[in-house]
Amino acid sequence: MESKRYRGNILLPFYPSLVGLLLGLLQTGLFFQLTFTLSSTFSTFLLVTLCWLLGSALGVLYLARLPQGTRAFLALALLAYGACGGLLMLFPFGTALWPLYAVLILLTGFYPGVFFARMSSYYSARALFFQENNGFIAGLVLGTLLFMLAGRVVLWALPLAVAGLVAYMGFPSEELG
Amino acid sequence: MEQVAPRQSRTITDFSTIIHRALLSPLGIVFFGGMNLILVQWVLVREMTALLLGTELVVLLVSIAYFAGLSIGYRLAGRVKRAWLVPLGVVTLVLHLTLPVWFRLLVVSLEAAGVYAVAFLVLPLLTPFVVSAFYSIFLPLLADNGEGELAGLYGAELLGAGAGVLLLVALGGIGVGAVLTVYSLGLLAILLALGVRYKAILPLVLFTSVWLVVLPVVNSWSNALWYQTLHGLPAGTTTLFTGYSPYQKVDVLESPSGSRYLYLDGLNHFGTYDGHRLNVVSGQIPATLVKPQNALVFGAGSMQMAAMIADHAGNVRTVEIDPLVVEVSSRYFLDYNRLNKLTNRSITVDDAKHFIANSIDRYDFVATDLPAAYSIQTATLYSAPFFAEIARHLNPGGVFVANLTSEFAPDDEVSRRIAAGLLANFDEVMVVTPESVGWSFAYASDDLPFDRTAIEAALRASGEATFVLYETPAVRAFVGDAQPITLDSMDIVLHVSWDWIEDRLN
Repeated sequence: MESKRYRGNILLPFYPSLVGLLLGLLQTGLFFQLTFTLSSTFSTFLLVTLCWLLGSALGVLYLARLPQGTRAFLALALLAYGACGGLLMLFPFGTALWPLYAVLILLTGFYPGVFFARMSSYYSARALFFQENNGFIAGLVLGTLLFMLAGRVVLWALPLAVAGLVAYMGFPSEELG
Repeated sequence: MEQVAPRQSRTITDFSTIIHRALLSPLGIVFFGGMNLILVQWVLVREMTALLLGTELVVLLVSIAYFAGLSIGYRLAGRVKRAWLVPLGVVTLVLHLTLPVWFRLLVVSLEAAGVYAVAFLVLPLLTPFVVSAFYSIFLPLLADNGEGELAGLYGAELLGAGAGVLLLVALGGIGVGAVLTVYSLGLLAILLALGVRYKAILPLVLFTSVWLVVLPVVNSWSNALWYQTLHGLPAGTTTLFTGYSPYQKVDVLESPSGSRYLYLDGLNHFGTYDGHRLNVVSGQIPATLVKPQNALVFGAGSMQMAAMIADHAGNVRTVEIDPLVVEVSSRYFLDYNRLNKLTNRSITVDDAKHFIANSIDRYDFVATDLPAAYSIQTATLYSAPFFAEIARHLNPGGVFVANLTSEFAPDDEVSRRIAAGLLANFDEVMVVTPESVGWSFAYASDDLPFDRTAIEAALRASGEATFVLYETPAVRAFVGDAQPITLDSMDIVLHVSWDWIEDRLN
């Protein structure tokens, strides 16, 4: 394991993978929920992809420098994800809400950007991206397969469970004080 | 003026120098890397999904292979020497520009050797190494070598990916040649940034230009060869059209005898005898009995079904999500859809679920011309909630015709579950299995405006000599305890996807 500082918590070496798993689940969940209850058109794919990318870019380039803790961005991502799902249930196929969904996905995208920028002090870039990407693949596969087997509850329960674990583990700088 | 002019010139020179340096800096490398990853993913996903006969499991397999390549690149970043990057880039340029062609030829050779199943192993194993790994080397390599801060590099890569998505929006409709042209420019820029001299770039530019000129011909040839080998189309079959839409690979082929075929993601959608009979049984026959004033067809394909309905209807609207399918159908299947002659036809490009949920119109007749539930997205169009929306938009006595996508039988899960969804939303469901097609269709309504005798007579009049017909009580008995497909029970997609792959392999 190429983590530079953490040895105490047995889960800490898997931290980037866990975050990757969470991000894979969030992206899968957003994509499925939006295509099922907003529209399956290419516009939805564009909405998810571009807003997520832009949110992540803002996160990595600017927001990571702010004093707010990483947990705050994680909470914001979960709130935005939950709001997106809730609005879709309340107003299915309501395309008038497109701008709102765009903002919510943008807010969700802040967290991965902040995560990468702040973790760069603790992991080599290749270890960080390698572990995160492996977790992302697991999230993509688990999210898709378990959704098919168990239904939409997976799109809510799994991200919440993994986010809870990520929050419990804390963020390296916060853990070390 | 004489003093201002040089100053302006100097400013312009400085500005272009800044741009030039930025493009050739580590930031430029990761920006173009991010852009090219998106562009090559577009080509790879459509091509490989079609080659492996696109189902949900195949789409997942392709995604895993693509992202696994990124992991391999990240892992290799610590071991790859800087000097290797240029040769790797040159190899990548050649492999990626020719990817659609050599992937097809590889699968054709496997099929010719009687081992098509190996393609499901070889392509996903090749993809990580030859498609995505190269670009993911740069960011960690540059960051860990101190040639830039991770935050800035990652931000540039994300912006490059965003630019790639926007380029696809702008160029995707033009064709794969346009996408590969921009892709080549991005990779050539990376090679320049890696220190390749302009003189050394020239042979690559020449190769790229020549390839892009001959690509349409080679692309069409290899495409036709793949369909002849994999789908048994006659020798001499030619590609009339091949292209990538935002949703799928769309192919139109023509046999030497003039028969035309439409394939979506490598799966046949029109062109066979049973495909024609499908349109007769689910479109023409019920339309002759209902004589609808206002009819709706979900899915375009060749749009032959809509034309058959239009002969007996006031107005027929086709709703299709993919504008490329509409374009191709309008251009190559006029003999079947008669769009140039019929005046009571209209086409709306939209997602079927979104359209029906927001429609204020009511219909006397709704039919579907959709792919089977090979993927999650198409499975939603066989779900009980979708059927409920259709039921809500039917006039009293209106009829909905659904394709059960397999032969209705007590041990057939797919057709029973689709029928269960119909029974949950309609009082009457009649199922017919014509021998000419081999699978079943359901006529659903709260009050069917025709009876068994009328359907039997219409089937015989259309030339259907052998068929099985089930009325509502028999349908209920066959369905038994089968549960309707819903957004919370998509396991059917896994089964259909796996069965389809298994059938193709055997």
